[in-house]
Amino acid sequence: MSSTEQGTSSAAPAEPTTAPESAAAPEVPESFYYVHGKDKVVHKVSAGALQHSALIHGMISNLGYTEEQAKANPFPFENIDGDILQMVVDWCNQHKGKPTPPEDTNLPKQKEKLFDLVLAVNYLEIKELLTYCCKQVAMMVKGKSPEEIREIWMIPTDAEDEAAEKEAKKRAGKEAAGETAAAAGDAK
Amino acid sequence: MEEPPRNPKFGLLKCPFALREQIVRNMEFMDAFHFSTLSKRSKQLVHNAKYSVTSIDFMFGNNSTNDHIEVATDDDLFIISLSKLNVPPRRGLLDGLKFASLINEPSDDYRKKLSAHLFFIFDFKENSVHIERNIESLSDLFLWSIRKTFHCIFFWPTRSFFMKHEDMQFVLSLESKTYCLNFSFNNSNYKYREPLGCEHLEVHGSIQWLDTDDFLKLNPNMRRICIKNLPGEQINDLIKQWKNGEAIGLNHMAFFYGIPYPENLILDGIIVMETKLT
Repeated sequence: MSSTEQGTSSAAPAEPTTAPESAAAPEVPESFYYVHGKDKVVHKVSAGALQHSALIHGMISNLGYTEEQAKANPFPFENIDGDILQMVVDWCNQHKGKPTPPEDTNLPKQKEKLFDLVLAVNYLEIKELLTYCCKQVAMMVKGKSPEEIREIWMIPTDAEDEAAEKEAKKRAGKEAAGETAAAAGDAK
Repeated sequence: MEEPPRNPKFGLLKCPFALREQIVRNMEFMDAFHFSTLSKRSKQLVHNAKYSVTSIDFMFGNNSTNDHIEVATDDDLFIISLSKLNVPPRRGLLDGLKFASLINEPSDDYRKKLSAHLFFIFDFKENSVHIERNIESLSDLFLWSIRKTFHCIFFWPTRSFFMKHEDMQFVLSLESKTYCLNFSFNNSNYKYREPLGCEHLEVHGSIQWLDTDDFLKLNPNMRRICIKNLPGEQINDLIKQWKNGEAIGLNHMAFFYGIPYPENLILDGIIVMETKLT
Protein backbone atom coordinates (compact mmCIF):
# COMPACT_ATOMS: atom_id res chain seq x y z
CA MET A 1 0.00 0.00 0.00
CA SER A 2 1.33 3.41 -0.94
CA SER A 3 1.00 5.77 1.96
CA THR A 4 0.96 9.56 1.71
CA GLU A 5 -0.23 11.65 4.59
CA GLN A 6 -2.30 14.60 3.52
CA GLY A 7 -4.80 17.17 4.64
CA THR A 8 -3.60 18.08 8.10
CA SER A 9 -1.32 21.07 7.93
CA SER A 10 -3.84 23.63 6.74
CA ALA A 11 -6.43 22.48 9.23
CA ALA A 12 -4.43 22.91 12.44
CA PRO A 13 -6.57 24.58 15.11
CA ALA A 14 -5.67 28.17 16.06
CA GLU A 15 -3.87 28.58 19.37
CA PRO A 16 -6.05 30.12 22.10
CA THR A 17 -4.87 33.68 22.68
CA THR A 18 -7.15 35.16 25.34
CA ALA A 19 -6.82 32.89 28.36
CA PRO A 20 -3.65 33.26 30.50
CA GLU A 21 -1.37 30.29 30.21
CA SER A 22 -1.61 29.33 33.87
CA ALA A 23 -5.45 29.24 33.81
CA ALA A 24 -5.71 27.28 30.55
CA ALA A 25 -6.97 23.70 30.75
CA PRO A 26 -4.36 21.11 29.88
CA GLU A 27 -4.42 20.63 26.14
CA VAL A 28 -5.69 17.26 25.00
CA PRO A 29 -3.64 16.11 22.04
CA GLU A 30 -5.74 15.80 18.93
CA SER A 31 -6.21 12.28 17.70
CA PHE A 32 -5.84 11.34 14.07
CA TYR A 33 -7.24 8.55 11.97
CA TYR A 34 -6.38 7.24 8.55
CA VAL A 35 -8.67 6.57 5.61
CA HIS A 36 -8.08 5.36 2.09
CA GLY A 37 -10.16 4.99 -1.04
CA LYS A 38 -10.04 2.77 -4.11
CA ASP A 39 -6.51 4.01 -4.99
CA LYS A 40 -5.16 2.95 -1.55
CA VAL A 41 -3.68 6.40 -0.96
CA VAL A 42 -3.94 6.97 2.78
CA HIS A 43 -5.18 10.32 4.15
CA LYS A 44 -4.45 11.36 7.70
CA VAL A 45 -7.46 13.19 9.12
CA SER A 46 -8.12 14.57 12.58
CA ALA A 47 -11.01 13.23 14.63
CA GLY A 48 -12.42 16.79 14.64
CA ALA A 49 -12.61 16.90 10.86
CA LEU A 50 -14.05 13.40 10.70
CA GLN A 51 -16.91 14.43 12.95
CA HIS A 52 -18.64 15.73 9.83
CA SER A 53 -19.12 12.14 8.71
CA ALA A 54 -21.76 10.40 10.81
CA LEU A 55 -20.56 7.05 9.45
CA ILE A 56 -16.88 7.51 10.41
CA HIS A 57 -17.77 9.28 13.64
CA GLY A 58 -19.80 6.22 14.62
CA MET A 59 -16.89 3.95 13.70
CA ILE A 60 -14.26 5.82 15.72
CA SER A 61 -16.36 6.58 18.81
CA ASN A 62 -14.81 4.86 21.81
CA LEU A 63 -12.27 3.16 19.59
CA GLY A 64 -9.39 4.47 21.72
CA TYR A 65 -6.72 3.79 19.07
CA THR A 66 -3.20 4.90 19.73
CA GLU A 67 -1.44 6.79 16.93
CA GLU A 68 0.32 3.59 15.91
CA GLN A 69 -2.84 1.51 15.93
CA ALA A 70 -4.69 4.14 13.88
CA LYS A 71 -1.85 4.24 11.36
CA ALA A 72 -1.78 0.48 11.09
CA ASN A 73 -5.57 0.24 10.60
CA PRO A 74 -6.70 2.81 8.06
CA PHE A 75 -10.42 2.77 7.28
CA PRO A 76 -10.85 1.37 3.79
CA PHE A 77 -13.47 2.89 1.52
CA GLU A 78 -12.97 0.74 -1.53
CA ASN A 79 -16.15 2.07 -3.15
CA ILE A 80 -14.85 5.65 -3.26
CA ASP A 81 -12.40 6.89 -5.88
CA GLY A 82 -9.16 8.33 -4.49
CA ASP A 83 -9.68 11.82 -5.92
CA ILE A 84 -13.24 11.93 -4.58
CA LEU A 85 -12.10 10.90 -1.10
CA GLN A 86 -9.45 13.62 -1.33
CA MET A 87 -12.16 16.21 -2.06
CA VAL A 88 -14.22 14.98 0.89
CA VAL A 89 -11.22 15.02 3.24
CA ASP A 90 -10.31 18.54 2.09
CA TRP A 91 -13.86 19.72 2.74
CA CYS A 92 -13.92 18.13 6.20
CA ASN A 93 -10.61 19.79 7.04
CA GLN A 94 -11.75 23.19 5.78
CA HIS A 95 -14.91 22.98 7.88
CA LYS A 96 -13.39 21.42 10.99
CA GLY A 97 -15.05 22.85 14.09
CA LYS A 98 -16.76 25.60 12.11
CA PRO A 99 -20.44 26.20 11.52
CA THR A 100 -21.10 25.53 7.85
CA PRO A 101 -22.18 28.61 5.87
CA PRO A 102 -25.49 28.60 3.96
CA GLU A 103 -23.63 28.87 0.64
CA ASP A 104 -20.45 26.87 0.30
CA THR A 105 -17.92 28.15 -2.18
CA ASN A 106 -15.45 25.40 -1.35
CA LEU A 107 -17.37 22.76 -3.24
CA PRO A 108 -15.60 21.15 -6.14
CA LYS A 109 -16.88 22.70 -9.34
CA GLN A 110 -16.24 19.81 -11.72
CA LYS A 111 -19.71 18.68 -12.76
CA GLU A 112 -18.37 15.40 -14.13
CA LYS A 113 -17.18 14.45 -10.62
CA LEU A 114 -20.43 15.46 -8.97
CA PHE A 115 -22.13 12.08 -9.38
CA ASP A 116 -19.30 10.20 -7.63
CA LEU A 117 -18.96 12.92 -5.02
CA VAL A 118 -22.63 12.92 -4.11
CA LEU A 119 -22.66 9.12 -3.80
CA ALA A 120 -19.56 9.21 -1.59
CA VAL A 121 -20.93 11.97 0.60
CA ASN A 122 -24.23 10.13 0.91
CA TYR A 123 -22.40 6.95 1.89
CA LEU A 124 -20.21 8.73 4.43
CA GLU A 125 -23.27 10.55 5.79
CA ILE A 126 -21.83 14.06 5.71
CA LYS A 127 -25.10 15.91 6.14
CA GLU A 128 -24.05 19.48 5.37
CA LEU A 129 -21.93 18.59 2.36
CA LEU A 130 -24.75 16.38 1.07
CA THR A 131 -27.13 19.32 1.27
CA TYR A 132 -24.76 21.45 -0.83
CA CYS A 133 -24.17 18.65 -3.31
CA CYS A 134 -27.90 17.99 -3.76
CA LYS A 135 -28.47 21.68 -4.32
CA GLN A 136 -25.73 21.70 -6.93
CA VAL A 137 -27.21 18.67 -8.72
CA ALA A 138 -30.65 20.32 -8.66
CA MET A 139 -29.13 23.50 -10.12
CA MET A 140 -27.83 21.52 -13.11
CA VAL A 141 -31.36 21.60 -14.53
CA LYS A 142 -32.39 25.08 -13.39
CA GLY A 143 -34.49 26.77 -16.07
CA LYS A 144 -34.08 23.87 -18.50
CA SER A 145 -36.83 22.51 -20.71
CA PRO A 146 -38.23 19.03 -19.96
CA GLU A 147 -36.26 17.48 -22.80
CA GLU A 148 -33.03 19.14 -21.61
CA ILE A 149 -33.68 17.76 -18.12
CA ARG A 150 -34.23 14.33 -19.65
CA GLU A 151 -30.87 14.58 -21.40
CA ILE A 152 -28.88 15.91 -18.43
CA TRP A 153 -30.28 13.48 -15.88
CA MET A 154 -30.58 10.63 -18.37
CA ILE A 155 -34.25 9.95 -17.69
CA PRO A 156 -35.70 7.20 -19.87
CA THR A 157 -39.11 7.54 -21.49
CA ASP A 158 -42.00 5.34 -20.34
CA ALA A 159 -41.48 3.15 -23.41
CA GLU A 160 -37.78 2.70 -22.57
CA ASP A 161 -38.63 1.91 -18.94
CA GLU A 162 -41.18 -0.69 -20.04
CA ALA A 163 -38.71 -2.29 -22.46
CA ALA A 164 -36.03 -2.42 -19.74
CA GLU A 165 -38.49 -3.95 -17.31
CA LYS A 166 -39.49 -6.62 -19.84
CA GLU A 167 -35.83 -7.37 -20.50
CA ALA A 168 -35.10 -7.63 -16.75
CA LYS A 169 -38.03 -10.02 -16.28
CA LYS A 170 -36.86 -12.14 -19.20
CA ARG A 171 -33.35 -12.28 -17.75
CA ALA A 172 -34.64 -13.15 -14.28
CA GLY A 173 -36.79 -15.91 -15.79
CA LYS A 174 -33.80 -17.36 -17.64
CA GLU A 175 -31.64 -17.23 -14.50
CA ALA A 176 -34.35 -18.95 -12.45
CA ALA A 177 -34.69 -21.64 -15.11
CA GLY A 178 -30.91 -22.12 -15.11
CA GLU A 179 -30.85 -22.46 -11.32
CA THR A 180 -33.69 -25.00 -11.40
CA ALA A 181 -31.85 -27.04 -14.04
CA ALA A 182 -28.62 -26.91 -12.02
CA ALA A 183 -30.46 -27.99 -8.86
CA ALA A 184 -32.02 -30.89 -10.77
CA GLY A 185 -28.58 -31.86 -12.06
CA ASP A 186 -27.17 -31.81 -8.51
CA ALA A 187 -30.03 -33.98 -7.28
CA LYS A 188 -29.19 -36.61 -9.91
CA MET B 1 -16.57 25.37 -36.28
CA GLU B 2 -16.62 24.74 -32.54
CA GLU B 3 -19.40 22.60 -31.13
CA PRO B 4 -21.57 24.24 -28.45
CA PRO B 5 -20.67 23.02 -24.94
CA ARG B 6 -22.70 19.93 -24.07
CA ASN B 7 -24.68 19.71 -20.89
CA PRO B 8 -22.88 17.64 -18.25
CA LYS B 9 -24.66 14.37 -17.50
CA PHE B 10 -25.81 13.05 -14.15
CA GLY B 11 -27.46 9.63 -13.86
CA LEU B 12 -30.08 10.62 -11.31
CA LEU B 13 -31.93 7.31 -11.38
CA LYS B 14 -28.71 5.46 -10.50
CA CYS B 15 -28.67 7.20 -7.11
CA PRO B 16 -30.24 5.59 -4.04
CA PHE B 17 -33.92 6.49 -3.55
CA ALA B 18 -33.39 8.76 -0.55
CA LEU B 19 -30.70 10.69 -2.41
CA ARG B 20 -32.88 11.17 -5.51
CA GLU B 21 -35.63 12.51 -3.31
CA GLN B 22 -33.31 14.94 -1.56
CA ILE B 23 -32.14 16.23 -4.94
CA VAL B 24 -35.74 16.70 -6.06
CA ARG B 25 -36.56 18.64 -2.89
CA ASN B 26 -33.73 21.03 -3.78
CA MET B 27 -35.13 21.76 -7.24
CA GLU B 28 -36.92 24.95 -8.15
CA PHE B 29 -40.69 24.59 -8.39
CA MET B 30 -40.91 24.89 -12.18
CA ASP B 31 -37.96 22.53 -12.73
CA ALA B 32 -39.61 19.93 -10.47
CA PHE B 33 -42.84 20.31 -12.45
CA HIS B 34 -41.04 19.86 -15.78
CA PHE B 35 -39.13 16.89 -14.41
CA SER B 36 -42.38 15.24 -13.26
CA THR B 37 -43.72 15.29 -16.83
CA LEU B 38 -40.86 13.20 -18.23
CA SER B 39 -42.16 9.74 -17.31
CA LYS B 40 -44.30 7.81 -14.85
CA ARG B 41 -41.17 7.17 -12.82
CA SER B 42 -40.18 10.82 -12.60
CA LYS B 43 -43.75 11.77 -11.65
CA GLN B 44 -43.74 9.18 -8.86
CA LEU B 45 -40.31 10.38 -7.74
CA VAL B 46 -41.49 13.97 -7.23
CA HIS B 47 -44.53 12.64 -5.37
CA ASN B 48 -42.37 10.44 -3.11
CA ALA B 49 -39.99 13.32 -2.41
CA LYS B 50 -42.83 15.20 -0.67
CA TYR B 51 -41.79 18.46 -2.30
CA SER B 52 -43.30 21.08 -0.03
CA VAL B 53 -44.96 24.17 -1.53
CA THR B 54 -46.42 27.04 0.49
CA SER B 55 -49.86 27.24 -1.11
CA ILE B 56 -52.08 26.74 -4.12
CA ASP B 57 -55.12 28.94 -4.68
CA PHE B 58 -57.76 28.35 -7.34
CA MET B 59 -59.18 31.68 -8.46
CA PHE B 60 -62.47 31.83 -10.34
CA GLY B 61 -62.77 35.54 -10.99
CA ASN B 62 -65.68 37.65 -12.18
CA ASN B 63 -64.78 36.72 -15.74
CA SER B 64 -63.97 33.13 -16.69
CA THR B 65 -61.14 34.28 -18.96
CA ASN B 66 -59.30 35.34 -15.78
CA ASP B 67 -59.55 31.98 -14.05
CA HIS B 68 -56.16 30.94 -12.79
CA ILE B 69 -54.10 29.07 -10.23
CA GLU B 70 -51.74 30.91 -7.90
CA VAL B 71 -48.88 28.83 -6.56
CA ALA B 72 -46.75 30.44 -3.85
CA THR B 73 -43.34 29.01 -3.02
CA ASP B 74 -40.97 30.35 -0.37
CA ASP B 75 -39.62 32.97 -2.75
CA ASP B 76 -41.83 33.08 -5.80
CA LEU B 77 -45.41 33.33 -7.03
CA PHE B 78 -46.54 31.50 -10.16
CA ILE B 79 -49.82 32.52 -11.78
CA ILE B 80 -51.03 29.87 -14.19
CA SER B 81 -53.93 30.63 -16.50
CA LEU B 82 -56.95 28.32 -16.55
CA SER B 83 -58.86 30.21 -19.19
CA LYS B 84 -61.01 28.57 -21.85
CA LEU B 85 -59.29 26.72 -24.67
CA ASN B 86 -59.78 29.39 -27.32
CA VAL B 87 -58.74 32.30 -25.12
CA PRO B 88 -55.01 33.10 -24.89
CA PRO B 89 -53.80 33.70 -21.32
CA ARG B 90 -53.73 37.25 -20.01
CA ARG B 91 -50.33 38.95 -20.22
CA GLY B 92 -48.01 37.96 -17.43
CA LEU B 93 -49.79 34.69 -16.77
CA LEU B 94 -48.19 31.32 -17.42
CA ASP B 95 -50.03 29.23 -19.99
CA GLY B 96 -51.84 26.41 -18.18
CA LEU B 97 -52.79 24.75 -21.46
CA LYS B 98 -49.13 24.53 -22.43
CA PHE B 99 -48.22 23.03 -19.06
CA ALA B 100 -51.04 20.51 -19.31
CA SER B 101 -49.86 19.46 -22.77
CA LEU B 102 -46.59 18.29 -21.18
CA ILE B 103 -48.49 15.81 -19.00
CA ASN B 104 -48.82 12.48 -20.73
CA GLU B 105 -52.26 11.51 -19.46
CA PRO B 106 -55.63 11.40 -21.17
CA SER B 107 -58.17 13.99 -20.03
CA ASP B 108 -61.16 15.74 -21.52
CA ASP B 109 -60.40 18.93 -19.57
CA TYR B 110 -56.87 20.35 -19.49
CA ARG B 111 -57.63 22.25 -16.26
CA LYS B 112 -58.52 19.01 -14.53
CA LYS B 113 -55.42 17.25 -15.85
CA LEU B 114 -53.09 20.05 -14.74
CA SER B 115 -54.69 20.49 -11.31
CA ALA B 116 -54.72 16.75 -10.59
CA HIS B 117 -51.06 16.53 -11.60
CA LEU B 118 -50.06 19.43 -9.34
CA PHE B 119 -51.95 17.98 -6.38
CA PHE B 120 -50.34 14.59 -6.95
CA ILE B 121 -46.73 15.68 -7.27
CA PHE B 122 -46.53 18.55 -4.75
CA ASP B 123 -47.20 18.70 -1.06
CA PHE B 124 -49.12 21.98 -0.67
CA LYS B 125 -49.16 23.27 2.89
CA GLU B 126 -52.35 25.24 2.19
CA ASN B 127 -54.94 25.25 -0.53
CA SER B 128 -57.90 27.47 -1.13
CA VAL B 129 -60.60 28.23 -3.66
CA HIS B 130 -61.93 31.70 -4.43
CA ILE B 131 -65.22 31.99 -6.28
CA GLU B 132 -66.10 35.49 -7.36
CA ARG B 133 -68.87 34.87 -9.87
CA ASN B 134 -71.99 32.84 -10.40
CA ILE B 135 -70.74 29.58 -11.88
CA GLU B 136 -73.32 27.69 -13.89
CA SER B 137 -73.69 24.11 -12.62
CA LEU B 138 -71.37 24.85 -9.74
CA SER B 139 -71.37 21.25 -8.52
CA ASP B 140 -69.94 20.15 -11.91
CA LEU B 141 -66.87 22.39 -11.66
CA PHE B 142 -63.76 20.38 -12.63
CA LEU B 143 -62.02 21.08 -9.31
CA TRP B 144 -64.43 19.08 -7.14
CA SER B 145 -63.62 15.84 -8.95
CA ILE B 146 -60.00 16.30 -7.83
CA ARG B 147 -60.39 17.78 -4.39
CA LYS B 148 -63.17 18.43 -1.91
CA THR B 149 -61.04 19.46 1.08
CA PHE B 150 -59.59 22.94 1.42
CA HIS B 151 -58.00 25.17 3.99
CA CYS B 152 -60.14 28.06 2.89
CA ILE B 153 -63.19 28.58 0.68
CA PHE B 154 -63.98 32.16 -0.31
CA PHE B 155 -67.38 32.54 -1.87
CA TRP B 156 -67.33 36.24 -2.43
CA PRO B 157 -68.96 37.33 -5.68
CA THR B 158 -67.92 40.75 -6.90
CA ARG B 159 -71.34 41.27 -8.50
CA SER B 160 -74.46 40.59 -6.51
CA PHE B 161 -76.50 37.62 -7.60
CA PHE B 162 -78.91 35.40 -5.79
CA MET B 163 -77.43 32.14 -4.68
CA LYS B 164 -79.46 29.01 -5.31
CA HIS B 165 -79.95 27.02 -2.12
CA GLU B 166 -78.63 23.83 -3.76
CA ASP B 167 -75.43 25.67 -4.69
CA MET B 168 -75.05 26.96 -1.15
CA GLN B 169 -75.67 23.51 0.23
CA PHE B 170 -73.05 22.14 -2.13
CA VAL B 171 -70.42 24.72 -1.15
CA LEU B 172 -71.02 24.07 2.54
CA SER B 173 -70.81 20.31 2.00
CA LEU B 174 -67.18 20.68 0.90
CA GLU B 175 -64.65 20.44 3.68
CA SER B 176 -62.86 23.60 4.71
CA LYS B 177 -61.20 25.00 7.81
CA THR B 178 -62.35 28.49 6.87
CA TYR B 179 -65.42 29.75 5.09
CA CYS B 180 -65.64 33.35 3.92
CA LEU B 181 -69.09 33.87 2.48
CA ASN B 182 -70.69 36.95 1.01
CA PHE B 183 -73.70 36.33 -1.19
CA SER B 184 -77.36 37.23 -1.50
CA PHE B 185 -79.93 34.59 -0.72
CA ASN B 186 -83.62 35.36 -1.05
CA ASN B 187 -85.25 32.17 0.20
CA SER B 188 -86.29 33.30 3.68
CA ASN B 189 -87.71 29.88 4.61
CA TYR B 190 -84.51 27.93 4.01
CA LYS B 191 -82.31 27.17 7.02
CA TYR B 192 -78.97 25.42 6.91
CA ARG B 193 -78.82 23.02 9.86
CA GLU B 194 -75.90 20.73 8.98
CA PRO B 195 -72.54 20.95 10.76
CA LEU B 196 -70.15 23.24 8.88
CA GLY B 197 -67.04 21.42 10.03
CA CYS B 198 -64.98 24.60 9.89
CA GLU B 199 -62.92 26.47 12.49
CA HIS B 200 -63.42 29.95 11.13
CA LEU B 201 -66.68 31.30 9.74
CA GLU B 202 -67.05 34.71 8.19
CA VAL B 203 -70.41 35.70 6.72
CA HIS B 204 -71.33 38.97 5.07
CA GLY B 205 -74.34 39.50 2.80
CA SER B 206 -77.39 37.34 3.51
CA ILE B 207 -77.45 35.57 6.87
CA GLN B 208 -81.04 34.39 7.35
CA TRP B 209 -80.08 30.94 6.01
CA LEU B 210 -77.87 30.22 9.03
CA ASP B 211 -79.69 28.34 11.76
CA THR B 212 -78.06 29.33 15.05
CA ASP B 213 -80.02 26.86 17.26
CA ASP B 214 -77.41 24.59 18.87
CA PHE B 215 -74.94 26.04 16.39
CA LEU B 216 -71.87 25.62 18.62
CA LYS B 217 -72.92 22.13 19.65
CA LEU B 218 -73.07 21.20 15.96
CA ASN B 219 -69.75 22.94 15.32
CA PRO B 220 -67.57 22.15 18.33
CA ASN B 221 -64.33 22.94 16.49
CA MET B 222 -65.28 26.54 15.82
CA ARG B 223 -62.54 28.97 16.87
CA ARG B 224 -63.51 32.24 15.24
CA ILE B 225 -66.84 33.67 14.11
CA CYS B 226 -67.33 36.94 12.28
CA ILE B 227 -70.88 37.69 11.08
CA LYS B 228 -72.55 40.78 9.68
CA ASN B 229 -76.24 41.60 10.15
CA LEU B 230 -77.08 38.72 12.48
CA PRO B 231 -80.20 39.63 14.52
CA GLY B 232 -79.48 40.53 18.17
CA GLU B 233 -81.56 37.62 19.56
CA GLN B 234 -79.42 35.13 17.67
CA ILE B 235 -76.24 36.78 18.93
CA ASN B 236 -77.58 36.48 22.47
CA ASP B 237 -78.28 32.80 21.82
CA LEU B 238 -74.76 32.21 20.47
CA ILE B 239 -73.20 33.94 23.49
CA LYS B 240 -75.25 31.72 25.81
CA GLN B 241 -74.12 28.60 23.92
CA TRP B 242 -70.54 29.76 24.26
CA LYS B 243 -71.03 30.52 27.97
CA ASN B 244 -72.47 27.02 28.45
CA GLY B 245 -69.21 25.50 27.31
CA GLU B 246 -70.01 24.55 23.73
CA ALA B 247 -67.04 24.94 21.36
CA ILE B 248 -64.32 25.26 23.99
CA GLY B 249 -61.78 26.34 21.38
CA LEU B 250 -63.84 29.36 20.35
CA ASN B 251 -61.84 32.46 21.17
CA HIS B 252 -63.31 35.18 19.00
CA MET B 253 -66.82 36.25 18.05
CA ALA B 254 -67.45 39.49 16.19
CA PHE B 255 -70.79 40.82 14.97
CA PHE B 256 -71.40 43.86 12.81
CA TYR B 257 -74.57 45.76 12.13
CA GLY B 258 -75.51 49.08 10.52
CA ILE B 259 -76.56 50.51 13.89
CA PRO B 260 -75.20 49.54 17.30
CA TYR B 261 -76.80 46.47 18.82
CA PRO B 262 -78.87 47.28 21.95
CA GLU B 263 -76.88 46.04 24.93
CA ASN B 264 -79.94 44.73 26.82
CA LEU B 265 -80.84 42.51 23.85
CA ILE B 266 -77.39 41.12 23.23
CA LEU B 267 -76.63 40.45 26.88
CA ASP B 268 -80.15 39.48 27.98
CA GLY B 269 -79.83 36.83 30.74
CA ILE B 270 -76.05 37.09 30.76
CA ILE B 271 -74.27 38.46 33.82
CA VAL B 272 -71.28 40.56 32.90
CA MET B 273 -68.48 41.38 35.31
CA GLU B 274 -67.54 44.96 34.69
CA THR B 275 -63.86 45.64 34.70
CA LYS B 276 -62.56 49.11 35.35
CA LEU B 277 -59.35 49.96 33.60
CA THR B 278 -56.93 51.78 35.84
